[in-house]
Amino acid sequence: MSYYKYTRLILIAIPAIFLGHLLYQDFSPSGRLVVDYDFCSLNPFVSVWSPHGRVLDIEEIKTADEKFCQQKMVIDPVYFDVRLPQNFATARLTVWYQKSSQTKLQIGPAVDLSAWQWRLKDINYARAEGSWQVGIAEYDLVGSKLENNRLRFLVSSPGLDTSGQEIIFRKIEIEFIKEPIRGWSDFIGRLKGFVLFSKLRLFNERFF
Amino acid sequence: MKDFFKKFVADLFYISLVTWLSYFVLELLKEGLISNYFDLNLLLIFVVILGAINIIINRYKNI
Repeated sequence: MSYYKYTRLILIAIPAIFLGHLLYQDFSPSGRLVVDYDFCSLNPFVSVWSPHGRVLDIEEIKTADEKFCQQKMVIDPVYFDVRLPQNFATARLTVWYQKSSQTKLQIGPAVDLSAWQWRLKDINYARAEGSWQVGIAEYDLVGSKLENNRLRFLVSSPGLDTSGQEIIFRKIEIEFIKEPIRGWSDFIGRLKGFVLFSKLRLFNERFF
Repeated sequence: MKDFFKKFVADLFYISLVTWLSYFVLELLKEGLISNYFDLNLLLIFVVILGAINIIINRYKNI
């Protein structure tokens, strides 16, 4: 049974290596994090859209070619949160939607929720994918205040309820970007950010 | 071979349990560190099933 100790070592190494992998992903040394939400399944990064009533129930659509989910927005505004593992400098949002050309669509992250400040931007039509329009917007996140590590986004379409129109969303994808780690100083800075986003900051505030 | 299997299941159970506990504490310390990428409930289910198997096959070990 001398070979058994190697089996035990492997059993211990697997969760340790997996934890290292999770830490690496959370640390994102490349400075890039892509999150997407397709309305079909819950995503740990992106919350469901709320309040319900302004957005209708998620519909599952099955056609001969494909299966997808969509959600209709009927009253403005609606919100969703993105849980971030650290601070980022820029966010590039891509959204798949259907709306009439007269209907305005703006999306933006909160700058300061307590002051009700938002960085709303018009969604720029980029291309069409089948019957879906694809829009893009880019945001500067420097100075954005996060609440419980969550960045709230607001989806706005002024006058949507009075016009009787609706906007159908199929998918959103947000790419968060910051400087990649290039040296030790970057690594130390990133480590401080990592602590600030954890409960360890409470020890930091109390003792230092 | 039978001894190996008994030992293996017992070790797998204890290592999985310790892994789940440590991941759970880490998740409490930094929300999302684990749950953003991996569903801890799956590991918990695995631990419970392994615990039951371990009890059954190692029942008479200490008698």
